[in-house]
Amino acid sequence: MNRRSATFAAAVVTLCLAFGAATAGAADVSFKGKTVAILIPYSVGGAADIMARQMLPFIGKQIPGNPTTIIKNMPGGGGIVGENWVYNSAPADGTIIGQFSTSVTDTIFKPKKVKFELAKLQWLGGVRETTVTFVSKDLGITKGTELGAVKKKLFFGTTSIQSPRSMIPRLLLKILGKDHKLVTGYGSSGDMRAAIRRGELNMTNDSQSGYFAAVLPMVEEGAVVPIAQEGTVQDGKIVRDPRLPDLPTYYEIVLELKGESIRKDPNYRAMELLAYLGGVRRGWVYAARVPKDVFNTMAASFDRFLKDKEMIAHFKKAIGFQLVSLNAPAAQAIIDKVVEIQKRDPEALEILKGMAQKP
Amino acid sequence: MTLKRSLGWLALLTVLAVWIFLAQGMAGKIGAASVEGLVRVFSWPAFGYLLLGNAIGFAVGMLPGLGGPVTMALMLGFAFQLKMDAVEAFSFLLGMMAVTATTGDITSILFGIPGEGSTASTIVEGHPMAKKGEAGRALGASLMSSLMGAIIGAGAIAVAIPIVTPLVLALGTPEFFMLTVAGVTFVGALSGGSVVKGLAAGGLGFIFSLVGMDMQTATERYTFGTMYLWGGGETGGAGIGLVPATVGLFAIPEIIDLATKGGSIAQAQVGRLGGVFQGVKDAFRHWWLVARCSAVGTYIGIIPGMGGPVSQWVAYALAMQSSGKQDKVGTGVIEGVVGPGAANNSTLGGALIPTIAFGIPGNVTTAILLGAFLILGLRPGTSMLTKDLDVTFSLVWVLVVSNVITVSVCFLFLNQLARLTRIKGTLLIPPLLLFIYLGSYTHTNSFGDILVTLVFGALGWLMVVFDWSRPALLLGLVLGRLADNYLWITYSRYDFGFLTRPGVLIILCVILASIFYPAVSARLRRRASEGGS
Repeated sequence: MNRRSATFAAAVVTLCLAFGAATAGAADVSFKGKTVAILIPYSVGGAADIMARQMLPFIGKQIPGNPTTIIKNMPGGGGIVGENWVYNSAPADGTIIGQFSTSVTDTIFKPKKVKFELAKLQWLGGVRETTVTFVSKDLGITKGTELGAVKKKLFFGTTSIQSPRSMIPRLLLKILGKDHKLVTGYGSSGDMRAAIRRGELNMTNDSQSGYFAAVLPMVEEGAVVPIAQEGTVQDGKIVRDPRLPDLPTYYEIVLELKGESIRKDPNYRAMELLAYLGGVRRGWVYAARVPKDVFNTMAASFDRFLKDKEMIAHFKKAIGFQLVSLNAPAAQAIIDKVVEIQKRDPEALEILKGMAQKP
Repeated sequence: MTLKRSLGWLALLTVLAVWIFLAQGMAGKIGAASVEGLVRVFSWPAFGYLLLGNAIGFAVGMLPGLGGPVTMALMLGFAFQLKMDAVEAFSFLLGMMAVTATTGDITSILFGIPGEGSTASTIVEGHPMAKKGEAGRALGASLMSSLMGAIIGAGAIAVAIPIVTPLVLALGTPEFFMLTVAGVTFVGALSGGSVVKGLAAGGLGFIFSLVGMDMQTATERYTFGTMYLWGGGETGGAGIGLVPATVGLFAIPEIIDLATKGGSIAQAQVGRLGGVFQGVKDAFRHWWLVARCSAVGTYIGIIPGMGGPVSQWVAYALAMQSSGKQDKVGTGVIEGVVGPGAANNSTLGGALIPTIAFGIPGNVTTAILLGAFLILGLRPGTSMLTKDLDVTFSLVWVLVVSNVITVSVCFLFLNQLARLTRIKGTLLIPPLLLFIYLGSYTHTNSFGDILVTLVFGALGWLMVVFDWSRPALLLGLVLGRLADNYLWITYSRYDFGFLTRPGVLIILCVILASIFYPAVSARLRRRASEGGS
């Protein structure tokens, strides 16, 4: 028996065990005749809502008892109204699944409004996405390490000063000592792409789905150049997203230019904290009150959903890349790490809070 | 007058010549793609989906408050579950959206209640006509102008293809800010009798628009600690929703009026309902107004953030100014029905241009459509203007065909529809109230929406009683937030240097000219007549 077949056999055994474990927990909980709702804390028609509506049929068929599945929109407070409701008031029978996008950063930037404890949410799974910073071709650079040498004034565009997505590139510019102007107030990534084309901005960043859908054509056309990515959290480390293997992370760029000693710089540590904060870009959660056996059943359903070939093919067509996603333990591990770093490194946390106040 | 018209023609001919010059290389391709797009829309099952979309849009448009964008987001799921191809999906989605502004006008005219957020302006002149027993004529005029507006807006997509880059990218945020300032100058035309009252109402709307989580710095403004007033978007947003506010302002006073006066909506009894054909003739008689309002509607559609809610009021103001009947606001001036009827339909065509060409959605509707593009594997951008040009043209045809079908169906049932204005008020009020609250509630699905409707209902009623302009307040409400946002971006990017941009200066000159032109021309006319005598 050679090594390859041994590995194969081991994989088969592991899979069988995993499957056995998943179904064992699932046997007694059924959602037959019930209605399971995915709660989106935003309006109909936004990015989160559209993604959930595409997911719905694939999720529905994996839940035991084939319940009716619906989307429930509860907008308000930039997502906090829905988040608070799921945690405190939603039925505890597992029929409400929250799909949260900003719950992690809300606990940092809007602590007075948040009525839930991050550490106590039960994570069923989540979507992992990196973010990509790109610059106008007018800057004349081809990679992130050249950013410090740019002669032109940098105009970095973002939605709001509190946007966590924009904070990593802002920290990058701060560490490189590069003067720039932060232009806030754009309504969407689309507005910022237009502003780059008009020359109003020359630097911005976008989510991975936005990048694949709308920025990549601009890269091919030669109008913009991607220079860095946030990366994803893999086994507790920040690595390049496997779907963008050639684009360096902000951390790589800083380490190359400033050397290993930069790791002690609080700005660098704040940058790292941000990658963990964004580790679960969109997460599916249960309130703490939902019983463990119901959680196990639903977590197993999400696990099957994430492996569904049809679902993977659909998202590959719709958003341009495979929706590499996190199952329940993987999502929980990232959140645990977030909670741990916040306790361990209050200095980095304070830097982020300061950045949410002034440019 | 002749000078103004000659200048207009000259400008039109110049634009045409420039376009022909730019389009000469593409003419053959555009022709072929246009035919192919038409064939694909009429092929089965795309045409079936189009009819289904039209039917849904017909109902959604007429039901007050229940809006096109929300419905389209819900329908997106169906389009994808039924595994539609691109043309089928757009026939369904856009076929629904395209007719909401058309049938929304019907509700506005008949009941004085906005069918859509973008059809409130048709109430101002259309509903008084219904009260006078001229519902048929108002409906005929609004339907015909809607159709013409839709065709012009759709045609704009085709015309824009060779010139799309300068068309969309010529103006930046500073110019958008100046355009919102230009919009404010229309308050004068919307204010009816007293300009001071009009400006005050517009200013009040402006303040209301600032309630919510401000987009730039994530600061809470006038929220009084309630999270409802933060707004519903993913990045916060306007605390006071346009739909609950519009429905409250117009519908509640109308219902109070109906309830207290008794009888039916049509107060004057006219021998026969007729007048439909008269209305159609009105639309053609004012063809120049229809063309101008459609052009304005299209261009407002292109500007990010604006859309039907803005274009209808600008068109209304334009129509009233050029009719010279500003002293007769709210008495049933037919121009005030024809202009907005055309503009709110042409806006959708305009909004599609940047979405198709650059993947830049200007408003909620096109953002959802962009989602549909991506789900269907289409990448907006150059390929939509080259490889997938037939799909782009199918969008053009969906806009046109949907409105032709819907307007024809409306004409068949127009007499029955107009008869609704003769039903006893006590029978109409319960279902109307139900639809109003239901429609408002779809804004954020929370009780706060109902409260906003009621508060604005009370405000609207007071404004009617004391003769203050509700359109001015609404214009302030839609423009305030945009002006605030554009000024913020402009200042944080350019400081005061933006004031030296040529685009900004040109728009400034136009604004000053439009403010002073009436006064100057009146003085000139007086001097001429004095000289003559």
